[in-house]
Amino acid sequence: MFVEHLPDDRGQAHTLEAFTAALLLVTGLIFATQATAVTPLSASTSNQHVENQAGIAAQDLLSTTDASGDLEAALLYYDNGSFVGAANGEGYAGMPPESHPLHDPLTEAFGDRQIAFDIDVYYPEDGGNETGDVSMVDMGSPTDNAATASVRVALYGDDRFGADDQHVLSTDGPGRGYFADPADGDGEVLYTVVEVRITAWQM
Amino acid sequence: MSGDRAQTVLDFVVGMSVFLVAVGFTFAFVPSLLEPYAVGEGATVIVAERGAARLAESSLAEPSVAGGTTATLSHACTLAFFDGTDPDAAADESDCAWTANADDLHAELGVDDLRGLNLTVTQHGAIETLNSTDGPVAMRAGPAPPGGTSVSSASRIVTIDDPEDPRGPETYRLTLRVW
Repeated sequence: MFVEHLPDDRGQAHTLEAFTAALLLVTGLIFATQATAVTPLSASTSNQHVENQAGIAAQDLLSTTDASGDLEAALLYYDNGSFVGAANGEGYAGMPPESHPLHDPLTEAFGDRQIAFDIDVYYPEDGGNETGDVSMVDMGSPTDNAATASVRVALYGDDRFGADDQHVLSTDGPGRGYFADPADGDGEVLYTVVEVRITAWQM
Repeated sequence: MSGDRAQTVLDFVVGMSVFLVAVGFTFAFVPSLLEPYAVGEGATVIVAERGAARLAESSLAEPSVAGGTTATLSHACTLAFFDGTDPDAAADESDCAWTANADDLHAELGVDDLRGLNLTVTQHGAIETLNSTDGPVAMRAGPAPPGGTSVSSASRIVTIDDPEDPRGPETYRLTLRVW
């Protein structure tokens, strides 16, 4: 069929059809790439949503436990240089034990959802010139997509700490190895103000 | 085959298939092409987050801390919300902030009736109940989400202090699903 070159009155129409089809295809593809901004490198809204939810859960956890007093109780659940029941080091390597005031809230917020978290406590040192920190829960290094939330908690001189609340903060705090020293003077009224920070990330 | 044809039927078939495959591929892999004509997927995420925030921070919150972010729910207001108490009665008795109860979630959250809403308050994944004088009230509202559609959900961690519960404030998860 390619050998014969007979006069054909439809050749031009076929060429036009081909051009029209090609034009349709190309405009379609251009429209498609212009209409959307999603590329493999675009941030996904679903990832952002997961991040937001972890951050909201951390903030809610701090607000609710601060309001109910569990957060302060958790800060005072400290005896002889470590949080009560911590296997090694100062803090917990995973979910705190059931006796811990934050066990139930943390399980509800993160434990059931496979979300890892760190809880760090920052406190003033050296009369407010430095900031020290102690790790209450350390589950490892957060990823780039971690969310954080923090709240400040005041500890008073007559608060009791220890496994059975047997020590008084202002008199026994420094001697019994409590992590924070009085912020100012002997700390009889206001002992110190600490910042509790939760960093949560999807495992 | 006559020699006066520039293209054969086969050429048309191949050309047509390439065209159709390209169009199908474009629409299948770029779903936002239909965005102007379909209900936006992204909007449901925002509706879910705003709705959950409104419920946790204003509607069901303790009247004394309404507007704050403590996410501490009032036992009386939450119970009245889920057991279908009249809004005016609840506002008089317990100073509750909600204006429509769980039977009309759309009105309370200001959401279009065409959207589906489902509200649950759970603990360890199970729907929790609040005790009232008329028996336990399950904390759930709205129909179950359909299986086939995309559902957005937002959660808040809340506490409810039942005055008759010796264990103190309990931690729950408030989840709002929107589709």
